[in-house]
Amino acid sequence: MKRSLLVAMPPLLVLVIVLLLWEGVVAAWKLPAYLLPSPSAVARACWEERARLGAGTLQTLMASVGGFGLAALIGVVAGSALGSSRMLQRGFYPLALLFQMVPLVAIAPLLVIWLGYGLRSTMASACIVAVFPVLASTLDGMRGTDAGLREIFGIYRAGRWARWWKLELPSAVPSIVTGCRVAAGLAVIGAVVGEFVSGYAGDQAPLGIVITASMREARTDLVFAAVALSACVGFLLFGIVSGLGWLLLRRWHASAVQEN
Amino acid sequence: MRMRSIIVGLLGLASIAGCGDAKPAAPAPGAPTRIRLQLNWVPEPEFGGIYAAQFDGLYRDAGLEVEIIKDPGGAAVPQMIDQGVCDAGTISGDQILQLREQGGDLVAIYNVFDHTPIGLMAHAKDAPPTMEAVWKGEGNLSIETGIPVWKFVAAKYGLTSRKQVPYGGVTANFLADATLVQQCFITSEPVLMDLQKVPVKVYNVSEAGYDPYTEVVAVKRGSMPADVQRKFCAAMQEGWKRYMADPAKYNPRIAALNPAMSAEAMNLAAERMKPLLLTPWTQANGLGSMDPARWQAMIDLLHAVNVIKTKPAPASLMDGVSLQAKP
Repeated sequence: MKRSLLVAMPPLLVLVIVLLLWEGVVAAWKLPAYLLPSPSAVARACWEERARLGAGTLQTLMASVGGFGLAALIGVVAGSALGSSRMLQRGFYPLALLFQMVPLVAIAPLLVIWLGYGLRSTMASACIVAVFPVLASTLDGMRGTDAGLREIFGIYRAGRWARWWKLELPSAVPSIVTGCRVAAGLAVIGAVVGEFVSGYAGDQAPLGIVITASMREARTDLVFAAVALSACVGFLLFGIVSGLGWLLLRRWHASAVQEN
Repeated sequence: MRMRSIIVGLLGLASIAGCGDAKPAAPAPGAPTRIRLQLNWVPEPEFGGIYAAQFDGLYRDAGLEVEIIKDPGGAAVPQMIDQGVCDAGTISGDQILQLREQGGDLVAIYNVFDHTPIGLMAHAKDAPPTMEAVWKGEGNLSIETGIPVWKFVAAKYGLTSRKQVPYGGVTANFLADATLVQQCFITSEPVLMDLQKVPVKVYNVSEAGYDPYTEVVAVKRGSMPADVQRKFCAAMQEGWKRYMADPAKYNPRIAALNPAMSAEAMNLAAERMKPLLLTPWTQANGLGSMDPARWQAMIDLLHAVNVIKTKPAPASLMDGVSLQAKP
């Protein structure tokens, strides 16, 4: 309990100081609300619009989790496939890299045409942004498999599947967890950007739609509230991935053992 | 003020990047007065007179150097004007009211459309007869969520039974989905559809009882000297007269600034603009002029549907100088 408090105190203290400074700056310069709302105004907007923001957060969470889940699955499978064959790696890795370079805002409108409006498109946006870190980290993890262990598996004539399942994949897990942590935050960004062009509005509008609508209304307080909630979704996803990673690694990997 | 400039720079970097310097330098004696005019859309006939004045050197002759800046995409024009990032901008009248509620203070100096060109566009096949029927129909509805016009329509007809989806100003989704109804500028999307031989039916939002000033040139109150404002309005008014008299003369040059819309489409759009610009009111009072009673109606309607909480006097929303912009 005491240790948790010690860990939580520094960031909380910094957060409180930043919020107080922010409140002071807005009051001292008499900044108009559309330019920079005070933290208290943002908190008020959060409370007054809690139903809309709550529904939006849930929608964005669903798109982020779905997109991240897909990205993790595709990333691990594709990374493993590329890691198992030099030919595949040479042929497809540059393509995967190219995929990463494509700006999402440019292809998001196409996703609407291909997949329609709503969750499918926003999940696809989240997946596109999040897949590469998982793929690259899986590939790196597989490449880093101990050469001595590879030799032993060779001596015992282990098949390709056994080599992957019992040697390469476990070796790659720490890398995959790191890649998934990066992907968790990216998935939320991808989902929100996807929502800008493909999210459903109305009562159940996701945070991306709340942000664009509030911008048009010059409701910067609501924009800040929605952005803060998007960040919370990112933190939540990051926390879940980190927790799962710790569960997977806690018994045998140095990083988790040290944390313990 | 410096602090404000820094913050607005952080908030809207992409929008502001298109506007050049943060603050115009005071002109040297004899030098033209520089005005940075930020548009809220890409170059299209809805800005025809503004460009015509530029092409014919009307601003220059009035001692003005007007830089017309097209929208880089989603520019927060009202906020940019209020912060002095640009000297003037095209926005809708109701945005002036909305920004006032959030601490801004803009005034309209020139009005383009006497009647709103905003509407809904549906595929003509099986199109419902009225806007209310469209609003209560089935399928996707692509509109800009958050703008007052749709809040008014929702208050009038009730929440739409359609699924609301974002509006990106493009027609690709409309073409791909026969049930989709989308927001339109009567002078833009329906024209493009006509040229592509896609039959559409258009419902003007005034049918629902809301006819706002949809495109006004606004400035921050007190930021533009009266003589500069008068010259600027007079040049725009003359530009609009010339443009409406012969749009085909100017449209190829506007089309060169916006490859997405051909000069042919612009000519058709200009034709459809005529009943929205050349009305009994503008013929009697001059292009660009505004009726305080129309502002009052807009204020009353937006107040009634809770878009605004206070009811300012119409005279406080339009600068007196603009009223002198008569023929």
